[in-house]
Amino acid sequence: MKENLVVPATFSTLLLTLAIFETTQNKYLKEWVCIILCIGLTINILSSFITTIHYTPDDWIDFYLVTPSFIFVSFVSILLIIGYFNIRLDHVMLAVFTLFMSLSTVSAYAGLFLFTRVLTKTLTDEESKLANYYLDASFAVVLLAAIISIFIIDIIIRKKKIKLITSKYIVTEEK
Amino acid sequence: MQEYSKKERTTDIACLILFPLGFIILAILAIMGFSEGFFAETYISSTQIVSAILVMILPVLRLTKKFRSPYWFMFLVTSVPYLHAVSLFLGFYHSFANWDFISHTYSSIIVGLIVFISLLIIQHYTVRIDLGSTATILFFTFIIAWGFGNIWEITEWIIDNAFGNALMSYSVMDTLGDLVISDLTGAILTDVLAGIILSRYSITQIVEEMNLDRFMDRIGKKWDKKCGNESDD
Repeated sequence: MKENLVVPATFSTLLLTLAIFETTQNKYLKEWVCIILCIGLTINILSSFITTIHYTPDDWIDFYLVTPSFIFVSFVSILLIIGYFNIRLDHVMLAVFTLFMSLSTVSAYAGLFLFTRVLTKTLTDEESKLANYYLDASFAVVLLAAIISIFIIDIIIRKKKIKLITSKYIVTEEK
Repeated sequence: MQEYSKKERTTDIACLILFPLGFIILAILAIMGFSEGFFAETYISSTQIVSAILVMILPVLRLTKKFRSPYWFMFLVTSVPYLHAVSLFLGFYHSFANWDFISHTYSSIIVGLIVFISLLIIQHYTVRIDLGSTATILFFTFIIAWGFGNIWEITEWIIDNAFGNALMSYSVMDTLGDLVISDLTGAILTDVLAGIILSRYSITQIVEEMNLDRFMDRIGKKWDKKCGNESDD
């Protein structure tokens, strides 16, 4: 098992367990939301496996492939957090929290995976500079994908006429 | 809402003049070749000019009564571009081994505090958005503060690509060090600080000091209206 599989797969599996638990309990999140989450997370775990199989030490493309999946994982995390901790958000706040959760998660991923990789390998200055551009570019991919996902979330919510996320997805009490 | 006194107005005008003045002086000195930095004069002077424009925003907002930020907040925010620009001018990033860490951590704390205050304002002035307990507010502060580190790294990358030089990011270890050590440390310290503040003062006490009532009441009501369900109407 390659090291770059560990973080996304563990994170996704943990969330998948929570989503399945939610589906059976149906306590905080609506059933259809949980089913979508389970399907999405399964795809996410599978994509982690696929990128790992095609991974080669000099190929940084996996980073481009894995990082956008953090947006989905972050979206799920935020939904579960607002469900469990009885938080109420509108779609703008949900999108903002998803965006920053994605960025923080990719930082954690970069830290755990790349630090190990960089420290255990001797990179030349040129390679290090190139790796740095790939790293920054992958952040840009996450940011761009997160912004696009905000628009998608916004369109879906407007189309479904759901103005307050939590009242439709989660049972809450007035503040 | 407190009155906007003459004394406050005078102070705001002084801030509007004095805040950018330091940067303008440094920009002129850099153009004249007096900078100690290891970078090109154009880069150092451009940084000073951009910083000069940025530090004028809060005093202008105060003068136009759009957002009357407390002075302590204004000084803290202004200190961030000053720390970066002065360090760049005097070459601290190269002279001191851990200066980059100190600069990044300090900036991360200030950004985190801005995020924390913004979340408290949202929590206080909106009825239908509820960020939950102190713990969840601290959690959201942490992830947003840390996430901002990424946005800064992207900015560095864009600037480097635009100028075709490694002016801001030097290596993968530099970027990782900034993100995983400095920004993470800053976000953790912000959370500790925010936790201490929330244990001593209520959200209402913190927010009401900022005289945001008129502005935020309007925004908050708009936000609540936007958040409302059809079934609530």
